Amino acid sequence: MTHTDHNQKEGAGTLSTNQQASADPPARDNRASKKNRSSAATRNRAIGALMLVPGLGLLTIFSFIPLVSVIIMSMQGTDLFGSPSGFIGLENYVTVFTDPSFYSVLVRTVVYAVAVVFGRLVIGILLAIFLTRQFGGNKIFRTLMTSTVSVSVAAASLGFLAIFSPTGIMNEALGKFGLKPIGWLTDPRWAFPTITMVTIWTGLGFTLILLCAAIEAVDPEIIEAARLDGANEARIQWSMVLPLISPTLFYIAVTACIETLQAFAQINIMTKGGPGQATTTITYNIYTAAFGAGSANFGIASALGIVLFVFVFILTLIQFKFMDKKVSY
Amino acid sequence: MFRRSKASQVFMVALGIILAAIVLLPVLYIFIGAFTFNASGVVSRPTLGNFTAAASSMPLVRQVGNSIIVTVCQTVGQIVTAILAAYAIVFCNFKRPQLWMMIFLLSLMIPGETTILSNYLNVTNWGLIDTIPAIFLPYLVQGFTVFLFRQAFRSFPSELRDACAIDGAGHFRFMFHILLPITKSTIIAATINSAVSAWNGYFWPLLVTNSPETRTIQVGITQLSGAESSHMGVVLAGSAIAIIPTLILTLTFNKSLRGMTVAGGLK
Repeated sequence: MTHTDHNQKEGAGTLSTNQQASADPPARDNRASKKNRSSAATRNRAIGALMLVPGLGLLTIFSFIPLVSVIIMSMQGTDLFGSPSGFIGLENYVTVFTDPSFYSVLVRTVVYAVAVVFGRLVIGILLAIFLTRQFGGNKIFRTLMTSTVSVSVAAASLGFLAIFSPTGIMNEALGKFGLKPIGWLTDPRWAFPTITMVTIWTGLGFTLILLCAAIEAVDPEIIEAARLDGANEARIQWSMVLPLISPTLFYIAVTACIETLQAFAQINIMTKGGPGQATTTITYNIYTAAFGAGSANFGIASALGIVLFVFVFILTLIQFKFMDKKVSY
Repeated sequence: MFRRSKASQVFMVALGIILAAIVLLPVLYIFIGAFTFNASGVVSRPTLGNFTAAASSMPLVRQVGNSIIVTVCQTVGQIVTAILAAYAIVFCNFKRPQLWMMIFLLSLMIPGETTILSNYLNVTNWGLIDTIPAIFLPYLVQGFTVFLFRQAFRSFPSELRDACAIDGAGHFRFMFHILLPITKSTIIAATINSAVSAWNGYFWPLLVTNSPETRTIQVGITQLSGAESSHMGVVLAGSAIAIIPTLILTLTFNKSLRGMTVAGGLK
């Protein structure tokens, strides 16, 4: 947050340490009003503090303290029942970082995030350019496509499960072209791209909302001028519109990245991280380490959780840079 | 803007239908499958058979009820805590308002998948596992919602606020009679945002509930495939039930959804 809160400046009149007031002649009623004002400000602050209690209290109990506990748990061993026991230092981290399968999970997670970001941007931009054209009925198409923002990942995953099932529409379509059916979710080579496709879809609605708003905010006069200069449509979109909406593109990239790192429902419902480890990402690994069948190890899961936290922390910092910035053209 | 010829208008609409069909394929597939798939996965005449089969193999009605309870509690919690906190940050003469906003934004940097481990142990210790409150308790406050309201409140001229104060309007009168009516669009956008994410929650509800009677609809539908005499059509019928409420919500308030992007300071 780099802005200065304008209330601080404007509200300075009600603060007790007021330069102007002290420059006034020290009349009694003036001092009294000053006192009133400062006591009013103090009362305001007290009321404000009370208003902050519910929000801050809940955040502390369910977010900040748990984070500290997970950091502590990541340095503890695990007893037979999977509960935390005894301090063991960084041993869990050593276990995690010396496990060769951890690197394949990490690399897979990064590839997954990059592929989803790229897919959402490319598909999103093409669709948004279409949806912001002027033609009869474009509002209806936009409403239909952006409404997918409300479809739960769980339900969408079940829909995709049906689409990619051995007898589903995808394999039926392949059959129509005389091609062999593909094990979309059972073939180790295909499961990961399939999950990536599904994840691109789950965020497409929100991507379109942001992109359509951004494209419509572009000054039409600039585009009109370019058109008069004889620039063709593709050129206008590529070298004028895209640079102008680049802050939004960046924001989408960062948020999509964060969301993909945390993806769980589609993996749990469609592949359970399999076949083998083909679709296990870091978040899914946290789940299997802590709640997997017969392997409840909260110490290892916590260490993985902290690795995820570091990723998300850095990406969110980048996101904040864009959240509060009014972009001027 | 130039007038389009009839041919290009027809072309655009045709292209729109094709693109919408591709983008909406999963949704269409859910609805078509729910009404027409029979036990062997082939399309037959439309019936409600899959819905009744789904309802008989799972307490679906009860699960929808659970989801409604969770959604209402979680949304009310997030909106109330956010309005109070944002009001305090903007209007209560704090010496460092940005610092308090930062604390709320810090919570956005902590992934729920990390804190889930500790929250799970806490909920277990409190004896709340397999209860409805366990599902919404950790999510009664949402940093981003506080941010949305703070952005909306900041655009309110503080001279006006001071004028109201001189006229003797207390905090709550000012809030309910002047401030909240003006920021109605933010309230709608934030409410939709909170309600949709509460209704769609999956990971946490999956962890803290065990019995079908306390599951939410999102978790319930994923258990359908394992149920007796269940097939793809039945699973899709459950999925259709799970997405209808939020679809109706976003189709109705589609304009408000765009308010979210503006509220977030993304122009």
